[in-house]
Amino acid sequence: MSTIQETTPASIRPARTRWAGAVAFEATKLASLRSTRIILPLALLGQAALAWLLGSSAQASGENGYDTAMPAPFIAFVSLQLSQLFIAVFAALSITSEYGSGTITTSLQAIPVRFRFLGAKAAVLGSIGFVAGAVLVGAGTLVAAPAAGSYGQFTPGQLATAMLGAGTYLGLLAMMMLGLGALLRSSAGAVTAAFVLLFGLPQVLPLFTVDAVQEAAGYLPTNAAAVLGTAAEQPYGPDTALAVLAAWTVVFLGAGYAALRGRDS
Amino acid sequence: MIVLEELTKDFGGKRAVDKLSLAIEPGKVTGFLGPNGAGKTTTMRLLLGLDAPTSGAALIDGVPYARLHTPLRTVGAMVDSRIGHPGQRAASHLLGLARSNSIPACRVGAVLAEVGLADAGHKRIGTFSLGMRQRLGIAGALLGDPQVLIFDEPVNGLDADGVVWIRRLMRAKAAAGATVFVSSHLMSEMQSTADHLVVIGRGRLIADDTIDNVIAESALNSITVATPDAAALAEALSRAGYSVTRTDSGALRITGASLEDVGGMAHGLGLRINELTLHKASLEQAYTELTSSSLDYVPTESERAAS
Repeated sequence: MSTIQETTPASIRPARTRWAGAVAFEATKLASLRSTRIILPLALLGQAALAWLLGSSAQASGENGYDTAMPAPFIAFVSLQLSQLFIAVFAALSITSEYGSGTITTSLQAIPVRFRFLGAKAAVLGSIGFVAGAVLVGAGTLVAAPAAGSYGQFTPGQLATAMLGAGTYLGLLAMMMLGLGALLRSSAGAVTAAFVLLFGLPQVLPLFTVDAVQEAAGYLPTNAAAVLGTAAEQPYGPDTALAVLAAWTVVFLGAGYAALRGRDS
Repeated sequence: MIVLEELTKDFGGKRAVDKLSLAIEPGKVTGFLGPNGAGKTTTMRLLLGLDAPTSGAALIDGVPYARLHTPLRTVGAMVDSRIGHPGQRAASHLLGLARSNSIPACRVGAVLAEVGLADAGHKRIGTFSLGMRQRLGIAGALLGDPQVLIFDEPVNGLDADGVVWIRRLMRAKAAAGATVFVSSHLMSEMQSTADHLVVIGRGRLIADDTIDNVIAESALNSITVATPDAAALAEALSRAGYSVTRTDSGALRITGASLEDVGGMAHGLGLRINELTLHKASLEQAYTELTSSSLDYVPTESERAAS
């Protein structure tokens, strides 16, 4: 309750104030929600568990003569395939829960300009996603490195690549899911869509024997992220991977914005 | 000041608000009445930019809601009692709203106290009763100390004390110069709260007048006159075109005439008058009469008889 006593600085310029206000609105809400305090720690827990499992597995396989050595930060990056779901759901719920609870009415009264409303949300969620990505890979490395032992040796450069890649990926993923949530307006729908996009399609598309489908699968967000986070050169380089992720983000956020603007609330 | 200009809204093929033009003035409580489905909530949502009009405009201080610089400092509104995220604490919900519109954070405690939720600020909104949620919604509306207040059915879920409280609040804000626009289906509530009435039915304007005028113009106003020679007076009144019926006690009940009309006619006939009374329709009756022709669902004769 002590936060209530603080006063608003009066010296900020009006145009900036309105964006800052919209960002503060979203940040205040997310910071005080119980779901934030549940979902984000769960992501960390899931990340640590999978990183430990993959790290131990790398060591066990390596000792049995298989070539499974992988830098620990990359093991941590691969472990994101579980924890990313928590971030995706968190981001989607940040808007679908407003529709579910009816508080979207109050939010849009406070910030009636839809572009600013969604833009501020994207900025806050993108930032949370970025920090989450870096933290998850950092924490994952701390767990995976001892588990993998000599089969997980890494350079500081590899750690930086994985942390930066994960931050970028989860930041953009959070924005994609925000756009999807704004489009679907339903928590169940958005969570289902997140599972299909992050789990379903990456599993199913490679089963097709058609070359075009296989190639298209390479451009799914998860696959582009893998390139970005492990500095791979297959099937394309990190620059292309970043462009692919950015394109997905623009498409989803754009669709969400169009829905928010075009439809009645 | 709220201005509606030919405001129209279609949902699918159905017209919810039909070329509504209105000016709602400051310093008054304007009651917004209409049967369920008449378009009251839709009109208020259009006013707040939550829904987009099919045509026409809804303006507050001359601009659409979305063009207001810091809207919560100009307009305080509650159109949905589903306020806030259930997992969020009441004070932090208000703090977020305050930050979004550059409202000093000290207003949070002030409005919580004003609506009687001073002790509930740390509670999660999900634990609130409907009445508390309603009060929280009103707290949010008052947060920016706005000069325009828009409430959709604010007494829903409030207890008797709460009803008196919100009525006093609206009267006090109007007395201080605010524009207060409040919808209700409770006519009795409006009679003691509003200065001015806007009545709509099927999205169309039916009446826009002071409460006194709405009642005065009701065809349900009637006059009772008791005279020893009722038959002669009844005949004269009928001939003059007034509607006359006999009451159980033998007096006459006349509609469509003024006291002067009836008194003058009796005087002209040289009749002694034992009683001459004007029965004013209540606001409820006047309203029922105004809106009966615009009801979406009119009860059948058998339903009427049963009730």
